[in-house]
Amino acid sequence: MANIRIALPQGTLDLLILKTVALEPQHGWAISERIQQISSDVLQVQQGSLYPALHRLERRGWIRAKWGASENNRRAKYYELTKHGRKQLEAEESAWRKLTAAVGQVLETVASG
Amino acid sequence: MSDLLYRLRALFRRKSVEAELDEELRAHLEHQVHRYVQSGLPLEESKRRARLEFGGLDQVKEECRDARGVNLIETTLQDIRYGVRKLARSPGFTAVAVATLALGIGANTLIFSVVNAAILHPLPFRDAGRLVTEWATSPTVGYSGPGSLTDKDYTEWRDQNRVFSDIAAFRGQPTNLTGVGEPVRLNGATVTASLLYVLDVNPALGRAFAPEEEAAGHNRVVLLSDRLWRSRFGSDPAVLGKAIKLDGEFYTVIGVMPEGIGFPNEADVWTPLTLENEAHNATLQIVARLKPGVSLERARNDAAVLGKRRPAQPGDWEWHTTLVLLRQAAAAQVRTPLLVLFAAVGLVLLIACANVANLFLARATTRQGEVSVRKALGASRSRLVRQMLTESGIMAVLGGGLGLLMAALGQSFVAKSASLLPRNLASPSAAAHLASAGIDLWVLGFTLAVSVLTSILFGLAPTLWATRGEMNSSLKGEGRRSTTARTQGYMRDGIVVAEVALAVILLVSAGLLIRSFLHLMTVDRGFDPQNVLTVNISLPDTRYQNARSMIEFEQQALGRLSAVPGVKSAGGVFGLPLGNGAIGGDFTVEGEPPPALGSRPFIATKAVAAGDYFRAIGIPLIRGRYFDAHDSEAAPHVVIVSRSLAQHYWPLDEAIGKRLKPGFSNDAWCTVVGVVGDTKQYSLGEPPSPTMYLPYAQAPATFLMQDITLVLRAGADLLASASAARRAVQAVDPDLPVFDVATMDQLVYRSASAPRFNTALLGVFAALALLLAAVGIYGVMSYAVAQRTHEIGVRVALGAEASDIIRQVVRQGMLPAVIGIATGTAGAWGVTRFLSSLLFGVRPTDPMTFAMVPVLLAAVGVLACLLPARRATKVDPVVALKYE
Repeated sequence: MANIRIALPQGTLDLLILKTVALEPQHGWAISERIQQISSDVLQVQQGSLYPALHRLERRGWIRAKWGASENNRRAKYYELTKHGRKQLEAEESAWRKLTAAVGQVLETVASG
Repeated sequence: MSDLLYRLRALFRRKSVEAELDEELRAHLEHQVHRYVQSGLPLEESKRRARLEFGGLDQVKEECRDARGVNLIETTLQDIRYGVRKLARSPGFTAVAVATLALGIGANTLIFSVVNAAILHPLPFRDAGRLVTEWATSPTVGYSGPGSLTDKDYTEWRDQNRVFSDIAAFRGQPTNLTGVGEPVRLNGATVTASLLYVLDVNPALGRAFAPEEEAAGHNRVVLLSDRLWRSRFGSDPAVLGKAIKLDGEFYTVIGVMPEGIGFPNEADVWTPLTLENEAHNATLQIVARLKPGVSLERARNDAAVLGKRRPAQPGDWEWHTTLVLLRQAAAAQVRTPLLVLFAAVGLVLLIACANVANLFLARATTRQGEVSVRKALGASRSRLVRQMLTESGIMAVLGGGLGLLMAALGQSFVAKSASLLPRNLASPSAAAHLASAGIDLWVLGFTLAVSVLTSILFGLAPTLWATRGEMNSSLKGEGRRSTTARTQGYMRDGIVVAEVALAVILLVSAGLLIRSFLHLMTVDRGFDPQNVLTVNISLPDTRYQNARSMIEFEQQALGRLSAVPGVKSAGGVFGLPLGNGAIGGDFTVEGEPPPALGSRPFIATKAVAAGDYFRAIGIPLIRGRYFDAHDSEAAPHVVIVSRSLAQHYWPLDEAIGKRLKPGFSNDAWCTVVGVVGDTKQYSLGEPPSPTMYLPYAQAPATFLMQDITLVLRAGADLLASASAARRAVQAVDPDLPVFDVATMDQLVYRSASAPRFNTALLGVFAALALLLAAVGIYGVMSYAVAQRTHEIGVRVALGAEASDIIRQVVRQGMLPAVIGIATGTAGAWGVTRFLSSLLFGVRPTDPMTFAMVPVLLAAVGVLACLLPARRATKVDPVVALKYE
């Protein structure tokens, strides 16, 4: 079970990051941990793509970074959602839901038909 | 915007941003290690695993930098630094290329600044692109210029049109200002109150005209130009409410116009126009602002309906009127010559680009090794192209900057020449615009665009060539003699063909203009301009209300002038050749049927001559006699005709005694008493204009007598005569200003100033083109000879004569030049017809020019080949054979 890991489809990483930092500001490592945890270890975030994605989102103004102390008392870079980012998250979330619903519908119909 | 800020922060605070990135990633690793340690792994193993999982640290960092958008800017900066170093390492190459580009870009910037001021932005008004005026053309009389309307036409247009948000009429009205220092002649205009609303101009001081001030009895108010206010009224705001005297009447000053506003006719004073119920004399011009959303096309249709309501009368000339943009009308005179110059200067730039491309191409060969190494090390082609284009970009920016400097210097020259250009009869003067040419944002933008474009033009071909596929051969050092060298040779020859062809086109054009100008300077003007002084006066109708008073003035003034020491003969004229203007039209000849309806009537200039005019200006008598004191008001009416008028109707010997009616409203038959030579009336380039002269005392209308040019034939000291003339005039009427004092030589010179200006500039551009083409051929041949040192050495060793070598090198170099000359000659044949309106006495396909230019270019080409050829003969076979 623990070994069934799915590589993230293109573009979904941004959505997951936005969703994760929407609850509270997080640093990079915690974000990847959280995604892994919540998805019951199914989704694994490649470190190699996490950080470029964080920097890209920061550049677009969807998240912003602050330095703070982490749980183990280390200086870490915390990311939080901006107002702009919240709008983006809502848009992407609803788009994602529509997409999955539509894809699911197709799969079901074709399977049963 | 925030994206840009982010990138810039990333760029300028690079150190701290990099440090943050480092720390962020390290924090991640430490968290991971901490996690493994907690789960029971030994520290070392935890570290190893975390590292492994994370992947290539540097790669992630690079991707983060990319994500931040630092890389594009940073590599560009790198390219620039590298390019500057590279260019600095070969200063000779850089200097030649930059200087060539600066010449090309500078000349283009200069001409564009003039085009910008004269054609693109000639009007200082808000939203000037919505201002229209009427334009008239008549094939009958060959007129193309501002249209004119009667007062009644204007009222109808104003009341019935549906396309203008506002419309105004105006009439140029020069006037004499007296009582403020010396009497002075001013440009002036009477305008409807709506003019300032149409133009959207507010007086800088005081107020605009009120509509009720158009009414007779209320119209004695005046607006002053900023220029007049400063020069004559000491910039005194208290001038408002004062009365000034114009043409002998008092006008109250109500305002001062903003600086730089002189519409129409570079006016210094504006007075309200009082419309009359005038339906015959068309003396008004209009300017209107299109309603929002109305296109020029729609306005034209609307105007065509208005214009056609009056049926054509028998004897009417064929007239076409239409609406044009005001700025188009304002630039009408300078448009063709400027566009020709603009095209010419564009060709110069192309030639300059060709030369620089050639230089780059030669250098590209020497850089083959460098390019191959970088490619082998994994640089992508796009990266290499970008880097090399950056180099040519740096060069273009340097050239552009230098060119801008040159253009700024050249502008003082243009401004000086501009004052010599003929005044535009349509409102704002062309000369004023040329003089106002400056470097503004448009010009800067143009220069920048041209620089970028040229850098691509001369940079791209060599770059693509240098970075193309095969790298093995050049790594192995085989580039020089392989097929790639041959394709490069073709490319270089192609460039020579192109630049020689362009140079031929320019030289042919310049040659035609020069030949035409020489014709203009030697053409018979019909008078003898040496030692002739002209002085203008204008008798205001407020003080000279009838012909009698004018005749008295004229007789007294001419009497005094003849008595001035040194003056040989003195006369007066309305309709001076090359002067301020004249009246022309059709007339009736006794025994000739009137011209058929719609046919082209015979048109003559109708001049009025006083005193000893013909001797003063030197118009020769061919038959009969000049006017004399007997041709007075009461005497039988007489007329003198010019040769071409006489010959149109009669054999020369039979002209005397024939009779004609000059074509004014209260005409009497006038008997021809003399035939004189033809003159050039408006410009040196026109055919001789048929002219009739009426004696001043018998002039059929007072408007022919108001504006007089006094003409004095005097000794060498014309300056002394000028002040004597002023004294003589003011002894008769102290309130009368004299103006436009000029010698006939000056008028001749001035009338040729536009062709002189065009010819001089085009000549300079053509010379530049010739020089650049010569440099181009020379460059290619030097390079070719250097490349073939080995082969030449072998031939010398085998006993070839120096003359053989020279012949062979010249033949090889001249082949592309000859192809270029042939192509260019064919091209010029097709292009020169665009010059025809600028030519005089020369056809656009003038065989002489078309024969001379190819010979000249061939000669220059041979010269350019000879130097490298001679160098080739000095090749030492021993050295040459070792050369590889």
